[in-house]
Amino acid sequence: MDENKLKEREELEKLLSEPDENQDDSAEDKNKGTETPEGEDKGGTTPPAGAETEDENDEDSEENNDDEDNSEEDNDNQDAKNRWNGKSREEVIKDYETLEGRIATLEGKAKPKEDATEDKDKPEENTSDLPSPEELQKMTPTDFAKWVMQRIDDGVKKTIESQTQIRDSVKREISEAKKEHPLDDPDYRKMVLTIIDAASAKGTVISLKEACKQVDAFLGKHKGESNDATDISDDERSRLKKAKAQVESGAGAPAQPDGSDAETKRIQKALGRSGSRGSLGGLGL
Amino acid sequence: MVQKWSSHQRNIKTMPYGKGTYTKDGKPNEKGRKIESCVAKLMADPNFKPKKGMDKKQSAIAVCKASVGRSDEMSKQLEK
Repeated sequence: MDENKLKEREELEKLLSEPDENQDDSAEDKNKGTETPEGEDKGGTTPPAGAETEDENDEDSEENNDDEDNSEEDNDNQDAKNRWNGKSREEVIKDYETLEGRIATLEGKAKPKEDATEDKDKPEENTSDLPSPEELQKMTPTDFAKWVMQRIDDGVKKTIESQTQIRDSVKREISEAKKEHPLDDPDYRKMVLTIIDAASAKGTVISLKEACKQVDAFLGKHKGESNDATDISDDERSRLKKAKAQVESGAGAPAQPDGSDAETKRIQKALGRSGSRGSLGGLGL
Repeated sequence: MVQKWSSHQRNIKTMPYGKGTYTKDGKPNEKGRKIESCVAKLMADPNFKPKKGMDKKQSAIAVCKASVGRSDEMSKQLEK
């Protein structure tokens, strides 16, 4: 009997000394029984102390992965384990709830920032002049009426200012152009106006000087001959009428705001001459 | 009860090219027609890009009103 008992002890000691796979399971079972209820161990949201053994098993299964990755993951897992180690279930739940709360507040802060960046991308609307709803509530009807009248006055002033600016600039342009070009002549003037109108119909702006230059080009004038610009011969007058008819039929304004000579050349071609390059100057021969 | 619009309110709704561009009947006058055709040309132009904070039509109307207004002023002053 003693021998049998000894043998049994030896066998038991061997079994205990050898690392066995079943040992982990037994340990798990023990932990389940003592620390946590059945359902929550598998959840993973509140890893208990016994979860260490599960993680170890998982780590064993991931042996094929790189050692560096494993070491980093181990560190992270250890930190996570340490956070929950030695804490009761209630404490873990409390901590988890506080973490959730933090995440919610962080998301809440992040969203308005995103909205603000989106607002910046949007085009600026003319709402800066409008008073805030609080200010509007504070206003009496008379104050509101005054504010409206003030706004209307400002709008009227702005339009008047812009109109006077346009008027002044046009006056200046005309006075400058009159020095070099025969704008007193009605035919010449009409021709210039037709070119400007044709340009404006395309949404482009052509200066008065440029329009005069184009008319001069139709007439075949050189730059140096601008001194006797006020005198227009009968021949030039008849050519002006022809050119005017051409422009009125759709030519004259440049197709692009930068201006190419294509339109001018087309009209010159239609008139049957090549501008002022001939030896006889403006006669077009 | 039918709400009556003032002439200013009616102009905002029905006259996008501004005052002085429509006849009494509410049809565009010569200046209005010029702006209208100019706007149509710019709207059809794929190279025309609107200004910041404006859509294409608003931008086209602004450009056409400025250019037609300028040429109008020019013809007025030259024919004085």
